[in-house]
Amino acid sequence: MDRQRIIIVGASSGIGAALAKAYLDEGHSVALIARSIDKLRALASEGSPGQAHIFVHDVTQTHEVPALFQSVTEALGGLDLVIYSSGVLSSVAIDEFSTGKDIAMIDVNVTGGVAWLNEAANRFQHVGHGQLVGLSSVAGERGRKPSPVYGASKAFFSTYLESLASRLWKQGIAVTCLKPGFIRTPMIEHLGKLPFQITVEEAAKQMMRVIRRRRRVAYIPGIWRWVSLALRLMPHFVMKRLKF
Amino acid sequence: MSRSLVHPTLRDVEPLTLVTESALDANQLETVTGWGGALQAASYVYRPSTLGQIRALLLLAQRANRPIVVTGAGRSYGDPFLLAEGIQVNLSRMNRILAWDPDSGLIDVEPGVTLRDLWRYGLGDGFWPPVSTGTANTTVGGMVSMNAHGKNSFRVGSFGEHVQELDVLLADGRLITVSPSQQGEIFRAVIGGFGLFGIVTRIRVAMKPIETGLLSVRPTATRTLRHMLELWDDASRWDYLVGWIDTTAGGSRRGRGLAHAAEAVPASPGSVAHSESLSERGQLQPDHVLGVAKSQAWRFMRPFINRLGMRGLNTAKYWSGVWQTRKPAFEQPLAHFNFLLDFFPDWKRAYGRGGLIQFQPFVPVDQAEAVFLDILARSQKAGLPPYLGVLKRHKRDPFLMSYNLEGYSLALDYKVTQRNRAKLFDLCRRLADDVITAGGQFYFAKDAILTAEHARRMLDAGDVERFWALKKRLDPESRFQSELARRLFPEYLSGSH
Repeated sequence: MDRQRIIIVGASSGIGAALAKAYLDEGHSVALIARSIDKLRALASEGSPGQAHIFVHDVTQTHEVPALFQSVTEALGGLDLVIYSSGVLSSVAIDEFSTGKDIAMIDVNVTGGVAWLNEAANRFQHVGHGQLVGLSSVAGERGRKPSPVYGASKAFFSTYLESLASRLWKQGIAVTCLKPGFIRTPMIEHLGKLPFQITVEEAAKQMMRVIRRRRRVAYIPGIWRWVSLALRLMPHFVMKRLKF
Repeated sequence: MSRSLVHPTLRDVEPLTLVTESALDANQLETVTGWGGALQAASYVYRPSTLGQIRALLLLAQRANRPIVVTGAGRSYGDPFLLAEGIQVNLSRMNRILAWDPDSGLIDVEPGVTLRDLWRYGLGDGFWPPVSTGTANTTVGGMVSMNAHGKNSFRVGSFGEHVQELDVLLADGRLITVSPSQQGEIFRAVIGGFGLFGIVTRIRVAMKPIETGLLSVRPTATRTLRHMLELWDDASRWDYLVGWIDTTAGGSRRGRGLAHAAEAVPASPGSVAHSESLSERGQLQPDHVLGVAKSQAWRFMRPFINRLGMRGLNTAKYWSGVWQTRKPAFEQPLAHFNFLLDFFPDWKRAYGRGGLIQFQPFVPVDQAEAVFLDILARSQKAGLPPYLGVLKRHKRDPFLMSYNLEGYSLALDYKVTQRNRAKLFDLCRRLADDVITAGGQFYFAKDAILTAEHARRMLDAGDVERFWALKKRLDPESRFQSELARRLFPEYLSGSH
C-alpha cells in the first residue's frame, strides 16, 4: 500500500482517535491535531518514531490555520488526505435555548471545519490531487427537537462538503462526507442505550474502507442509509409529534 | 522547521511546532514533476525575472523558514529541482542576453536563456554553442549547475569547461563573481554543484566558431558493442560521435547499434546553401513527418511503447542503419543533428502516465563493454528492457562534484508503470551497485534511483567532504536544498530545517 500523508483534526478522542490509530497501524504518516497534549502524545507513541507528528491547536482559533497548515504539510513532506473530525455535542434539554452552548458548537463543528477544509481544498486544487473527509452525522438529515444546533451544524457541514465535491471533482480530488449514526464514544456516553450502536474501532474500519474507495457520502453503519431515507421522507406534521 | 514548544514532559516525543510568523501564499503551490514524469513534489513556485525579485524571495524564505530549490527548464529527469513543501525559484523568465562579442564569441547570459536562444543568437555571426544537450530547451543555468555534456564531449569536454565566468547570489544576499582564476574553488564547485551553493545569475560562455551551419554525417552500423566502442579509438577527425544501441536485441546480437559521426562542413565561397545554413531558416526542422504533424506524432508512437513494439522498432532501426552505412555521408544542419530529442515534441507522452526513468552509467574504458552488456542482459532477463540506449564517450573534467571520467556512458530509458515501478527501481539499484563496483559514476541530471549508500561508495570521500565544507561556508543554514540532495546526502542536510 502506498504510504499516505494524512492530517486528522480532532485526533485526540472519539472517532478521530480511532482513525488515527488505524492509519498509524497501516503505516501511514499522520499529523495529529487537537488541544490535549497528553492525549496526542499517547496516540503518537502508538506509531513508530517519526510516523506521527503532533500539533496542539484549538479549532476555534481559525486565524492560526493558514500558517499551521503549512507547518503541518512541511512536516509531512506533502499531503494526500485531510480528515476533519472535531465535533462537540453539548447536551441540551428539550426545552433549553442556550446560545452560549450553541455558538460553541457552531465554532467547532462549522467554523473550524470550514477553516481547515477550505485551506486543504485550496491546496489540493493547486497541486491537482488529494482527498478531503468530513465527519458529519445523520443528525443533519432533518431539523429535530433534541439539539437543534448540533443537527443544524451537521446539515451545514454535509451541504458544504457536497459543494466542495462539486468544485473539485474535475481535478480528481475526492470529497467524502461521513455520516455516522450512534458510535460508542465519549460524545454520546451520556445518552444511554441507542439503536444500531457500533464500537468506535468498527466505525473506523468502515470509514477507512469508504475513504479508500473515495465515496462521496457514506453512512456508518450502512443501515443508517435506510433510516435516514425514512427520516428525510417523513412529513413535518409527523416529525413534530415525535420525541427524537 | 518552526520553533519547538518547550514542555518538560514531552522531551521524548516529536517536537511540537508553533505557528510560524508568516505563511507562504498557498496560491503559489504547484505540483512539480521531474522531466521523466516518475518523481514529483509540491512546492511554492515563484518566477522572478530580476535580481531584485530573487533577493525578495531569499527574504521570504528566511522569514518563512523554508528551503529553496532552483529550476530552469526542468529538463532533469529525476529530482534535482524538486523540493517537497519548499520554495521553488523558477528562472525561466530571467532570460536576457546581456552582452555579445561577435568577434570572440563570448556571450554573457542570464540563467534562463535556453540553448535554443543561444544558437539562434550566435548563428548569424558564425558561432554555435560549445557543447549541446540533446534538447535545445535546457537553460544555460541548468547546464552549468548539472555540468551538461554532449555528443562532442569526448573531444571538447563538458559544458562547464567552456564557461569563463559566473555571478552567484549567495544565501546571505551577497553577489560574487567567480572564474577559474577568481575564487576558483567556488567556481569549480558551482559548476556541477546541482544548485546547492547559490543562485547563478549570470554566465559567460565561450561559443565555438563555425564556418557553416552544416555537418557532414556518416552513419556506421556496428554488429557488436565492441565494434561501436572501438570507433572512438580513431575519432580524431570527427567533431561529434554518438552511438545508438539496440537495447532489445538479445543473445549474440546484444549490443549491436548504429553510430553517427559528424564533422563540420567548411564553407565554399559562393555556396548559397552554406551561407543560408548560418540562419534560422537554414536550421529549421520540418513540422510534419510522413504526413503527420509532429506535435501529434506521439499519439502514433504510443501503441509501440511496450516490449513487443520497441523490439520491432529497434530491429527496424538497426537494419535501416545497415542499409544507410552503404551510402555516402549526408549533410545535416547542426540543429537537426544535435537536438534529436526535439524532433518529436511531446515524445514523452507516448510513455504514458507512469513516465520513464533514465539510467545513465558512466563506466571506465576497460570496463565499459562488460558492464553495458551485463546491464542489457539483466534488464532483458527481468522483463524490463530499456527502450532506448545512447552511447557516448567522455573524458575527465576539473570540477569538484564530477561524474565525468575516461570512459563511456550509456543512457538508457526505462518505461515506468504502477505495476513495474518497485521492481524496476530495485533492478536499477542493483545494477547501480555493480556499476559503482566497476568504478562507474552517475549523472545527477538523469538519476532517480540512487541511494545515499550508492553516493557514499561512488564519490571520492575527500571531494564530498570539500563539497560540504564549502557548502557550510557559503550556505550555513542550508537555504538551498533539493530532493536529490536529501536523497543522496541525508547526513549533511538533516538537522537543518
